[in-house]
Amino acid sequence: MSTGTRKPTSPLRDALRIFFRNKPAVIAAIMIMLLAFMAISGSYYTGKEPDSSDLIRLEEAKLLGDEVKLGVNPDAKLDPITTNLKDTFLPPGSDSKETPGKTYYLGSDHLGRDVLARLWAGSTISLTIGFLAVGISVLLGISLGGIAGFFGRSRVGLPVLATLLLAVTVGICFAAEFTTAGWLLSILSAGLFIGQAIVALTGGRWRSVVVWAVVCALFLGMLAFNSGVESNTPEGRPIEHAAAVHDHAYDLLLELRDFGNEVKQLELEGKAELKDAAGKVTEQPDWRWQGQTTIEVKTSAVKWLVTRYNLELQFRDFEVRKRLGVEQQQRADHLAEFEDEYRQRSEASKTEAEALRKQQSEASGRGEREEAREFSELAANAEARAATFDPEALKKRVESTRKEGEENEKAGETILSALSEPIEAYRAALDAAQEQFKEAAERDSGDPDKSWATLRQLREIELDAAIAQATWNLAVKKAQIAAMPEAEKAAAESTAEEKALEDATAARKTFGDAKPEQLKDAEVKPLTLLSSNALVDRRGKVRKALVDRYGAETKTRRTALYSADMLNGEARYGLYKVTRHFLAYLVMLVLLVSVSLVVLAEGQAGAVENPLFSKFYLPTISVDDLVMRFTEIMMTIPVIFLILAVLAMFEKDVYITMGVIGLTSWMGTTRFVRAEILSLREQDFVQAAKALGVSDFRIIWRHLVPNAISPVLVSASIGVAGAVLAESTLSFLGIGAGPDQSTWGKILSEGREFINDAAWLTWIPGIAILITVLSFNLLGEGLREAFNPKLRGR
Amino acid sequence: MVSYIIRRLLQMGLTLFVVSILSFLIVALSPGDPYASQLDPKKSDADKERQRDAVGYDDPVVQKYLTFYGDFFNDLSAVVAKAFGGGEDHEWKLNSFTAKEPVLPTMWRKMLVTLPLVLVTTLVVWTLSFPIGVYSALRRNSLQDRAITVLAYALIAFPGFWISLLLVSFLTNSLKLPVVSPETLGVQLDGPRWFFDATWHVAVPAIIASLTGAAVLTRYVKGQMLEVMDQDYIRTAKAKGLDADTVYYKHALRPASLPFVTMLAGLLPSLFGGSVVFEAIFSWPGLGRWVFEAVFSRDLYIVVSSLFIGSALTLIGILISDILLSVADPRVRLS
Repeated sequence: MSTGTRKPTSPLRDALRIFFRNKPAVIAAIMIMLLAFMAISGSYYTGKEPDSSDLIRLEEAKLLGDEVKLGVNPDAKLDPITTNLKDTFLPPGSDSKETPGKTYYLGSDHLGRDVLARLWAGSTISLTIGFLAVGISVLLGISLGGIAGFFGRSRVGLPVLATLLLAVTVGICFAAEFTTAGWLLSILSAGLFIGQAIVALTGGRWRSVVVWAVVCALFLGMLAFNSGVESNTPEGRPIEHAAAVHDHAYDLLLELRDFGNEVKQLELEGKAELKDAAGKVTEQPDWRWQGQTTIEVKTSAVKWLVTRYNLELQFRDFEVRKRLGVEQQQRADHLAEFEDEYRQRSEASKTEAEALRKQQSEASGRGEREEAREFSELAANAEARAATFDPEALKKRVESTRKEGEENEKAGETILSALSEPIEAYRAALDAAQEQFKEAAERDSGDPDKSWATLRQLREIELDAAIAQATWNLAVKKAQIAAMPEAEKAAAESTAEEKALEDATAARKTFGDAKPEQLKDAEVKPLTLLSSNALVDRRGKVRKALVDRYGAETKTRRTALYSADMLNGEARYGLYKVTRHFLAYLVMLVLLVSVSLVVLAEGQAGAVENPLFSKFYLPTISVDDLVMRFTEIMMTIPVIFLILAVLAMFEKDVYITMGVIGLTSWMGTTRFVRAEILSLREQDFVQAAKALGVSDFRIIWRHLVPNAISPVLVSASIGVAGAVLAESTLSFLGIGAGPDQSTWGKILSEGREFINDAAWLTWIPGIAILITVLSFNLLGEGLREAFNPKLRGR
Repeated sequence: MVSYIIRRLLQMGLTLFVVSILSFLIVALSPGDPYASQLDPKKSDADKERQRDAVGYDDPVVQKYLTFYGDFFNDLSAVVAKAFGGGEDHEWKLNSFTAKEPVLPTMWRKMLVTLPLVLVTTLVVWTLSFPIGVYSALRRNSLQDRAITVLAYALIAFPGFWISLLLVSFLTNSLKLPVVSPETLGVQLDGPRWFFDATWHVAVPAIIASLTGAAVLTRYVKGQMLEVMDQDYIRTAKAKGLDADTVYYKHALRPASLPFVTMLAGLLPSLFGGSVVFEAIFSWPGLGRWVFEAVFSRDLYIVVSSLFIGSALTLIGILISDILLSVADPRVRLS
């Protein structure tokens, strides 16, 4: 520390001076700026080029304020997507055989796509991945390493550790489907957590608790909003019923399996011969009758759940029809506003087309065919534009849309108002049937005769529900007839439904009047005891019909709702699309977890100062141990297989690849940030700040972070290189990038087959990767030398 | 020492327990049931149910976990017994979903295919990088040092798969040399000719695969050597009048060769993860490729077993290298 004689200079300026003296690093920095420019411009200037009809459609959409998904980029200078089979395998610098005036500066690939365009488009993806993956890993690394380094020596109190462990156990319990235990434990851990939050409050640390409450409210609000949208829209409502069908069917399967195993045991012991020589059912243990009855009851219950689901589907269609009508009318009003605009454009195009036709005939009169054809094309374009913006056609469109909308709305309205009472009745009947099923299943005792009574009751419920169903069907038919236009009304009849209702009522009456002995053979199927094989067969049928179908249904319908175009136009659906995204969930979860950790830490700090609570805070494991053991575990798992296993779960998408690379590469940063902070916190200036009573937060932000940032920068720079390499390796192995995303690794891997015929397909992306990785490595080395002059010359 | 090893082993056990849970959950809870992949669509519903029962399709996750690791350790002990000559007949419990082979014996077989590749690669890395790194450190800032540094930078930046693709294409097309697969296909060779053939087929991929590793280690050794040469005791040795060779090779080299020992930790797990790309390029039916394919056919048993064994090997490698480091470097104390 010899100061005084030397002129003091700022360390940053020193570092910059050293950095600029290092020529390779400066060149690398310039290269990186060029690459970044390439990446940013790539997203604007590459894409599918629009053709003339696309342009007209874009113009119309722009005028009307619609969103169109043509998959084209109107500003595209280069097209990496369109294939051109006449231009396959053109070496770099050659001209297109198809389009005159087009040069493939870097050649074309096996589908005739421009390599330069693909490289340009790929740079956006490859570099974004590099930066974002490193961003994730650096963020995780700094925060975990910082915690381990700065708070490492303090020991975690027992309540904090218990809360953390409980939270993990809750997760495992729910994953293992121990729901009751999971809920109990989560209540326990929530209680513990709230207790600590209160301790933090008594210590005067209200800021973090408030932040935590806000984050919590946001998260819960998001979840509530999502489920609200899902259950309050006609599209979303049936989902819950599908899920209920799936759950009940799954329960039934488990029951069938366990029961089947018991029956099998019985059969193995030779006691399950169902019928003796005379054809009479032999004596069977009580549980077998009971189990069989339960299964019959549950099977019927599932059937009625399916009916309920179908009802909701049917009702949804009516609701959607009504809304569609309203939307169509709105659309008609919206379209009608643009009539003048359409007229102007149409007339302008017409005059243009006439002029062009004139020129065309002049040109063909002169005998210049080529020119005439050009004019004819232009004129055709102008005519197409004139036709698109034809005000008369628009008028017709408006009228037909409005008429259709009115009809739909009226029909939907009529049906819905006619059905509002029947559906309530039907729903109530179905729900009552469900309740009675449950009761019947619980009441059964295992005595064959009592089982008989249960079955009889079951049949009664079914018949009642059948009447409700027939009533509902009749009501629907009548409502539909009422909603029809007059012309069709005469032809429509509801006799079939009326007949069905009469039959159902009659059947119920005969069943109610009949004596039990009469019923036994005709109306109620006697309970047959199924063998274990038959039980397995039944299980297969249930799974095929119910579990698979309704499980898939819930999944696809949720995604259908998520991406439904019908939902355009209302603000809350736009919000729904954002909040339903898995990234939104991920971000909120990470936020919640980190804020919760802060609250726990504050609670502990508050408790240590407070003599009332301090005796509960038994020190357990040190923070350093906790974080570093976790880091070690993550380091232990072979990264490449971890990445592969995670990627195999999701659909191919580079942004998921990016997240996975980021989440599996933070361990190194954590370790050295920890080491850095550990050595920094012993330095005099930190001790001085502590002695002054500066808060931990301020010490971290004003003293530790600026000093520890340079090695982080270095490692981030080298990390970007690593992430670009990792992405290209994954794309090379055929994972990572989706089918319509072109990344450098993917271009290389596609060119691999043609390495002998078209070597540029592998050389060009390879060199691009090489330059990028080299630049980032050199920049990292340059930064390291600049910030740490001791290392120069290595 | 003994108590240290015991403590480390206990810690390892705890870590492995957590790893076993993590790796199993990652694979078993992924959407699209991994058990579903092994069901033959042609079979009847009842047959499918029986097959599902056989793998515990409807079991809760905890039970699946316990069943899996029960079978796993049962098979593992049999594999270890066989490796040490205990040739009892064992009924393999863990069979792969797609090929219906016992998982662990297949893994052992595949490991034996990969082993020569990994060993030779490591050998080449070490024999290249140590002399070059030390040379480059001793002739610091000379022309040779600069050339080596530039080459090392370039090699690190090369995507490994790309350079091997180019070399393979060059060797097979221009020089007409067979380099793909562990031995020349379609030819029956015997005795020394087989040996040379096998050696050639191991050497080419190993040399290509070692380029990146050699470049990294060269820079590391150089950095280490430079740091040692800055130390006071080297200056003292020089001041004492010792000749340069004694100073460099006796006093500086020993601490500078410590990365040699730490690298050992990476050797065992690189059997698993290190060779996926090279096995894909050189068509080696090795471990990396096997697991890579298993991941995509959702073969739960293979993926989880290799995640677990890979982690265990990493931990064992770290333990061994720590112990060796304490033997090689008296300054390092085990605690």
